[in-house]
Amino acid sequence: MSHVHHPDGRLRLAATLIVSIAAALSTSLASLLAMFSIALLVTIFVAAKDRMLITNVGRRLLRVNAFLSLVWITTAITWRDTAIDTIGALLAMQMTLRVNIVTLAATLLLMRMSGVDLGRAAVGLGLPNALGALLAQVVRQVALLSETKTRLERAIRARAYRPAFGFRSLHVSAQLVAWLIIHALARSERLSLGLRARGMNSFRWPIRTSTAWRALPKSDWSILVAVMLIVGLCLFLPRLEIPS
Amino acid sequence: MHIAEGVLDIPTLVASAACTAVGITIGLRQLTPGTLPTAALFAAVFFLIGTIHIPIGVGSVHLILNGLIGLVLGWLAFPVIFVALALQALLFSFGGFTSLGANTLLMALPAVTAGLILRPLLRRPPSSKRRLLAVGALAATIGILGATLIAAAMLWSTGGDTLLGLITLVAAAQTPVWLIDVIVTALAVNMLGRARATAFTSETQRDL
Repeated sequence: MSHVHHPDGRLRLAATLIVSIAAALSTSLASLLAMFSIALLVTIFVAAKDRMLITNVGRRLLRVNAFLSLVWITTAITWRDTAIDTIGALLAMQMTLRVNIVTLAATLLLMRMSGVDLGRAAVGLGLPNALGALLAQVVRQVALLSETKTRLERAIRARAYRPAFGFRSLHVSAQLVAWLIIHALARSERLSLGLRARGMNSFRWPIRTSTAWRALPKSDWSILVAVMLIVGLCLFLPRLEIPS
Repeated sequence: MHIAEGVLDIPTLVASAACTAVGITIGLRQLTPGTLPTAALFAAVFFLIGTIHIPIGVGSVHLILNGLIGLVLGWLAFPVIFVALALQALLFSFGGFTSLGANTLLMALPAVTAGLILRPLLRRPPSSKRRLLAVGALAATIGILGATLIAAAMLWSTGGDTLLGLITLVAAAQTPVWLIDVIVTALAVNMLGRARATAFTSETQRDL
């Protein structure tokens, strides 16, 4: 168990996928509303302890809801006679709830998960080793190449470049893209030569094996079980006949 | 270009995930533990390209360049785009995990198409400047138009005529992105072709 223990990545990813699939499957507004309310309540509860989460969730919600506003404008209103389209409004409402549920659930459940952890978790859930290894390696190379990109951008700015809409900006962006690809090609050649010089001839994917399912602590499993119970109850909600 | 999670229905998500799985399987055949760092480097480059923004008025658009990805990587574009989108979903909530198959398909299929059609034209360097610019512009056109068409088909299969307005709006919003991508890809292919002609030939692919 690490110093600050985070539940097993596979269970967190599985829980996120369960919420996403349940939200995509459900067409009942009652179920979707129930799921959204629970996700929002949990977010508020967690955000009260973790202020960083407020900014993170806020930014993500703002981004997805900007797209959803387009959905509402184009589907919920018949612009020819300026009236509400009931079918369109229902579809827009379902989409809005689904997108917000998934965004809140993914932010909460995958909080502080790195790309390497995501690769391991995905392999643990059945993704091919090659893809998991690629994901983990990409995280490393992004960190290295983003330094190169920053250096190139600094060099461009030092030559009095200011981004604006015009041909010069497009030309400079194209140069930046070409330079990044050339840097990657040169670096990959160096890497390949270095590996060969050390006699490296690996036939195994460099991916760490996950902890056995049985060895996981009960507290980790409780997250998955709780998510499954909540989702199950929410999906069952429309079938309940409430006596008047 | 991302379709947010929760927008598409289950049959569309399943069908697109199945198509993506086929593409990834073909792409992964080119990948071995020895060539992994090289492939990861390219995936990192294309992840970073997505963070380059071009200002337009008060807003900005980010580069997609999936045509260029297809030109350089061929079928390997499928696993590379999949991985880049998975990271974007995790770090920025762009797209999502259940819509990962759909988003990979709409970006990678036009990329691979552009690569299959246009790479033979660059096989024998040195190519002329006019040819490099034309290939770059065509690759971007195939990449963006293909992605827009696939996204439109996915949205239509989910909502039918109800989403026609949204489809029109999404397609219209891609026009400036397409124009910018055409210019940037054409110039980038021209620069790459002159500075590193092997970027589009089988020599790069041999490493991958």
